[in-house]
Amino acid sequence: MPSNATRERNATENISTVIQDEPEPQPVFTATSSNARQLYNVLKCLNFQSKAQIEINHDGLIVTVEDSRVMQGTAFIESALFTSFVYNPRPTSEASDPPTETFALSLSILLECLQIFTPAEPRQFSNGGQTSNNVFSPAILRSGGTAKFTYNGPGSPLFLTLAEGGDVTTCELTTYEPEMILPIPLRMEELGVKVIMKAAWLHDAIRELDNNLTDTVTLLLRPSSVPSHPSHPSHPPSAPSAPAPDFLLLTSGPLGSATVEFGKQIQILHYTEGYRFSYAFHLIKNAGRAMGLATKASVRGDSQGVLSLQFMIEGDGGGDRDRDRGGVRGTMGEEQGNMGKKMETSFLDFRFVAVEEEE
Amino acid sequence: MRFKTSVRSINTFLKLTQSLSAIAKLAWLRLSEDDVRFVVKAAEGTAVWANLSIEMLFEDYIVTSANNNIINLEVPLDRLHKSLRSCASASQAVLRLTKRASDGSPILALTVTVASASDFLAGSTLITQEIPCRVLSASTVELIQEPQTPDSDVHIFLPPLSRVRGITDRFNKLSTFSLSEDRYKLLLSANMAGEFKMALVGAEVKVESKWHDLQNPVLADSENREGHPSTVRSQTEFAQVRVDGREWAKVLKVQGLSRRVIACICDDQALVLYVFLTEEADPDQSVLTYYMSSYSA
Repeated sequence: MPSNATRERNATENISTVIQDEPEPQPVFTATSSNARQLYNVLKCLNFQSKAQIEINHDGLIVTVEDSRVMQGTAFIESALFTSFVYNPRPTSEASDPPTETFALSLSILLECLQIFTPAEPRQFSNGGQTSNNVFSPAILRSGGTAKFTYNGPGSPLFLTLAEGGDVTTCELTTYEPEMILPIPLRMEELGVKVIMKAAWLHDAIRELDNNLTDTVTLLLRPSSVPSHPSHPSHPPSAPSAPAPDFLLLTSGPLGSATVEFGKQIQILHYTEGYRFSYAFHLIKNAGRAMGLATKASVRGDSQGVLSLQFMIEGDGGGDRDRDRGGVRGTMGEEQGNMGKKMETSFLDFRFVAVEEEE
Repeated sequence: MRFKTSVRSINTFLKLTQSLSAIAKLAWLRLSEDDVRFVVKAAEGTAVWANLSIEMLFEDYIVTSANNNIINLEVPLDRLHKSLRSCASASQAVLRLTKRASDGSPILALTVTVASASDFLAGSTLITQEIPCRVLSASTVELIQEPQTPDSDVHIFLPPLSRVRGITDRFNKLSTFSLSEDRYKLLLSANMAGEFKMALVGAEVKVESKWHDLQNPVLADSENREGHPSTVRSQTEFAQVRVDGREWAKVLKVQGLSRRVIACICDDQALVLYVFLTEEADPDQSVLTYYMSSYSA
């Protein structure tokens, strides 16, 4: 049974037909997008594992992919990215607050289906960040059609209807019961580092260090040559008392070590002296496509070594609605203001658990 | 036996050899005073009969033989295609049947005139490429029969092949995610109400593309309209065939050559595609006819 709110919505939507017919049962979820390209581009960033979990809530879609239980990638796709977005929670889902609907599917297949719109394979990550904006170019990816998603709850497939020109393609994707993906928690109250930079810089740094000689990459803060105040281990962003330390990425192996030091143009918003954690390089590279595509990156690490790489991907102006929402962005941490706000922006968050540092 | 001609449209010839070589490596080339015919047959079953007007490809065309001025050759399509490709920028190309000097075996010699790029050297360069071939006797080619199909249940003008091809490529990619025996099996169907469908049924994903508002061609006067299966069935009833998506993708490589395509479906039996190289009003009726059999369900 739909909720009261839903019935009211049905009544207004079907006002012309309600007299003759019983109101048809509303699908749990329907959403229409005339910007399938951006959806494709954002989801493609998570394509390092084929299975994805999709959570529907009133604010949008949250797509999560997990690698080896120590790495997660999450895409936040706001309802504003769709022309219409209707979520009718089932009564059982309404028990949770806010109500959500979660299922798993093959991300590889979903991407392939979205490509029915977008026949050309976009440029690969290996081509480098400097050309990455080209994937938004209409010459490479076609646009102009609409994509409609429909989901009817557990056991039902996800329907994706793509209409373009004279043809309509309907994809029926098998869905699965979601596995329990426990989020990798970032302790916001125990942040060891928080840095904002251009995503391209991070992308360049990772590619620079990618020499296949080491398995891990280390993030560390090194005190700036100007002495700092040992009595203040943690500094607010605007602390005038001490210069911010240098932020470095380091790899080392039997044949030597390599370091990338970010210059002063990055914004170190928060830090703790001596912050140093290492991560599996191949897992960091899972975020490579997002690094290449994003405009801004936020790097955060907590005292337990949990690392969050957050990326802002700006749309190409092909989106639909022009309204601001707190919703999904609000769940992504308080520094959204620093990341800037722009319509048709999507966010990706990659979380990593630190590894024991090799010696 | 003599065959010599100028190539009028290298581009058309190139697209033709490209489309045909996607289906099979060898072609039976029949040259006569009336037309030019290429016939290929794939091991997988797809057959193509390409009947072209002489003007579609050639000019200054001479063919003579003791067999009513008909010459039958077996031609390696890849070699022919590569030779043509290398002369895409040529100002003139001449194709003739001759014998190789060294051993006297038959060859098609493609002689290309390339205008000199240099300002100092006037004139042009001649390049000759040899395509080995085999002369077929009249009794050999008699055995090659054009497939016979019953009257079609449905005939329809297909949507632009470039789009059909793009979607087919995606369907084939989706097939790779499936482990079942049925992967790459496409269901093609159409009705007499202007609808054409292409569907892939996999374990994890089912996909169907549908076109509407297409035209169903009107039967010619010579065809028996009254009792024709396409006129007695319900307009909206679909007739279907099952084809291998990879074979279908090869057929669709004719996309660059086709001006209009009519698909004729004999329900659960066969698909016949008429790929016309000209617009409807054109008196030149050069056509490539593709025959595909339906897999059993």
